[in-house]
Amino acid sequence: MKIKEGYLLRELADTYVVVPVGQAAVDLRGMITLNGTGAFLWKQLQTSQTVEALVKALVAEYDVDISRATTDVENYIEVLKTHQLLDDTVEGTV
Amino acid sequence: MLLATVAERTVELVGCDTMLHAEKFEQFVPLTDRVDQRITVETTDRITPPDGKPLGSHRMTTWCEVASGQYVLSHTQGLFQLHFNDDFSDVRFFMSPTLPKADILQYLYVSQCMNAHALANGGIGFHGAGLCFDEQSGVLLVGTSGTGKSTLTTALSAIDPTMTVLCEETVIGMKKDDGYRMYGTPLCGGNDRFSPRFAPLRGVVILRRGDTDRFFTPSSKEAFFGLLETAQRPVYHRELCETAVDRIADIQKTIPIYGFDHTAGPNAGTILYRALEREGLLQKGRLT
Repeated sequence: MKIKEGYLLRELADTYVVVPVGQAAVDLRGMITLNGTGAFLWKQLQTSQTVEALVKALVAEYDVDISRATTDVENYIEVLKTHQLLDDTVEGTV
Repeated sequence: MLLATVAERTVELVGCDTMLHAEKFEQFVPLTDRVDQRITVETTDRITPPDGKPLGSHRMTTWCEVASGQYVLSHTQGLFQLHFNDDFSDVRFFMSPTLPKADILQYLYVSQCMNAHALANGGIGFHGAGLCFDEQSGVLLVGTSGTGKSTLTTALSAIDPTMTVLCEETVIGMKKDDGYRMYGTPLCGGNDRFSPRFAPLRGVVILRRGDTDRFFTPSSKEAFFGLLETAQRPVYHRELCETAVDRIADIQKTIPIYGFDHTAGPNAGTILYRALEREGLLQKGRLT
């Protein structure tokens, strides 16, 4: 799975925002805000990833145990799925 | 740990977005009621079809830049040609006799091309009112429809008769050596208060209607959303859209951004004026 095309991640002073462009702006009439870990995962998902790979990357980057990281990644993926932001047609599905 | 908030705030896009949402067309009154004397419309059959790479296309129209500030739009029923001058003070609009004389299309194409021209040349268009104080300090009031741009502009001009208005509809911010300048455009529903043609942009105020009058410094996220919400983003054109997003981020880094929640009550104008004084955006002491 990976993030669909058409979303720009930008860092502001104290947060991250994702802005849809092109067709994505029509599909999602809103914006996405991310904290640091959310932005980290978003960047990972710009290439095809599995949940396991995301958990591993999160644990390697942040001071968090595998159990907590797994829960957070799964919740994160759910939010992305709910808003149809994931391209599940690529390799590395959940 | 909260990782993502999706669609925290729905953005109602204005301007270019209307090309995608025909149901909003009725929001636009005819061109002739929305522009001032700086725009001319002429019917001619002497427009040369463009042969360059289209700058953009949408539905029945593609458009090319044929020279600096000159655009030709190919419509299935004929051709439009638009000429802008450098400070957007003069717009000439030519159209084939075969085209329907639909004012709304003219308005949209002028708006589209003006914004594309701005984005390609270091600028971006905003839905807002451009105010000029002391002929040297420009303040841009931005807000979605109904947030009080015109109300506050009227209130401020009553407080400070020397204040001039660049535009009350589409204001172009252009990056220059000394920061950003804001330019009024002919898409402003002009009257005799409109002058001069540009002013240095010293501050942006994001307007919202609220239960109290409150002038404040928004968080960077609020500021970004406020600008994005009122910027003209050609959402169907990825490259220009990316440029718009980056330009908004640059304006946010360069220009002080403020928020003003207001009731549109009788004191709102005075509160805003005093706040602008306090922030050094206009000369102090005029309001007694």
